[in-house]
Amino acid sequence: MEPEELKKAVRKNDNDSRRLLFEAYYKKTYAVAYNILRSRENAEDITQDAFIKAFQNIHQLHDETKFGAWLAVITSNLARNYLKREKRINYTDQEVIADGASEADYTEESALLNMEVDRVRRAIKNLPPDHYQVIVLQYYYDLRVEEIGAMLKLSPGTVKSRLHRARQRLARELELNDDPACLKDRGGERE
Amino acid sequence: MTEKNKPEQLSDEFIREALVRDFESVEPPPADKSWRRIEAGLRGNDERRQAWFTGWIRYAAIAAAALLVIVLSSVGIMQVTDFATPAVEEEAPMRAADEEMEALDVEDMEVPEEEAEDVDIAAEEEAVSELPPFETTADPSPPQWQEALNDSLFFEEAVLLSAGDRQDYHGALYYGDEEKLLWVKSKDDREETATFIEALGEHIQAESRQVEEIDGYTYFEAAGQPGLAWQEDEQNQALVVISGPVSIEELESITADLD
Repeated sequence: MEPEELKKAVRKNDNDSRRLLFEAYYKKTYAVAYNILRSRENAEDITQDAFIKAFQNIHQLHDETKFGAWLAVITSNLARNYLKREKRINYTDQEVIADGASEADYTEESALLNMEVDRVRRAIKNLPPDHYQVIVLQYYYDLRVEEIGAMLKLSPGTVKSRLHRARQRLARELELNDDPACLKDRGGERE
Repeated sequence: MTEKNKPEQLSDEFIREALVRDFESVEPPPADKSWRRIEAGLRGNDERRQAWFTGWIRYAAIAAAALLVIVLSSVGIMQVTDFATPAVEEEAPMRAADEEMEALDVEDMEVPEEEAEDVDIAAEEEAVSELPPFETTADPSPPQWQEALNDSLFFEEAVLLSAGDRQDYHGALYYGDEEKLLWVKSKDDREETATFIEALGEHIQAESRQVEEIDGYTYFEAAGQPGLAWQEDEQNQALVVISGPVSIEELESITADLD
């Protein structure tokens, strides 16, 4: 969805606009819920609740272009609360991930790259909800530390340390060295 | 895992690509079905909110009708004492009253005499299951309120509660499927909990009564509705049920799960 179209839809918030927003963000929202809950049924319920809550409180969103990230925060908070209530934090479950490389005719190099990305993907799915939340907001929605802090009502320092711990955990999961040299790029330190 | 599959470094690009792929590969249930349920949920909440405001209007209509009856009775008494008043003129205010009643849409309040007693009892029962409406204003500088309580009650509005010389309290309204809850925070910690509960009663225009104190939690009632107060972060705080089937045990559970 183009930023201008997104802004317009968020501001309008009538049934047609809501439908547009739903169609644009349904899959991503479900993915966030599912990755935290690991249950299709619960993820479906949480996704629906998240959309309802978002549409009802849309006036609280100051930057309309951040609708997707805001919805991801609502979804992950609902999913975390659900786990907390059910006391079923189950993030170490393993799940078979479809191999994205299987349908294409990759070269050996690109096939290896795909396998690596899939391993990172699997490791991300095994993050605890708090860590998963900040990783999605920084890397998928490309939010700055301050923006993540504002959305999660956390200080920038807390966000930074949460991102750093999330990356360390990913590195451990991928059997990389925890040495900062292996945590390439600016992850967890982006201002 | 084989060594050659291992990324040597965890780059931002790997993480970004992994998330993009993950979001693309997920297979959610049919969108149409989910959308229908979202639409139904939105409609249901709108209706509940409308019912809450209709409740207010109904109270106002009853008060207006009662006032009208009193005024008309006084006029009637005065006219009975005035033998010179022609009967035809007496009908005019009654017609005006009828029109006003219609304008207030109170026709559903008119019940046959034989049913009146039952309705009174029902109204009385309703009165004890819901706090009477109380006045609030929008809170210009609200504290941070949680988005959801126990994943079933959702933040609706930040309000400011005022009562004469008493300090103002921050309040947040939470709505569930059938329940409505008020979370209150005092602005400073100098008040004793007992004073806080008493003042809270004035803020929400409902007589409050402390029931017992256990492990730092004070159980109280406000107009018969259950409430739970405690001190945290040097503030008095309380949860009060405005309406709906929320038991004191559920309030305890909500309090235990607060961030």
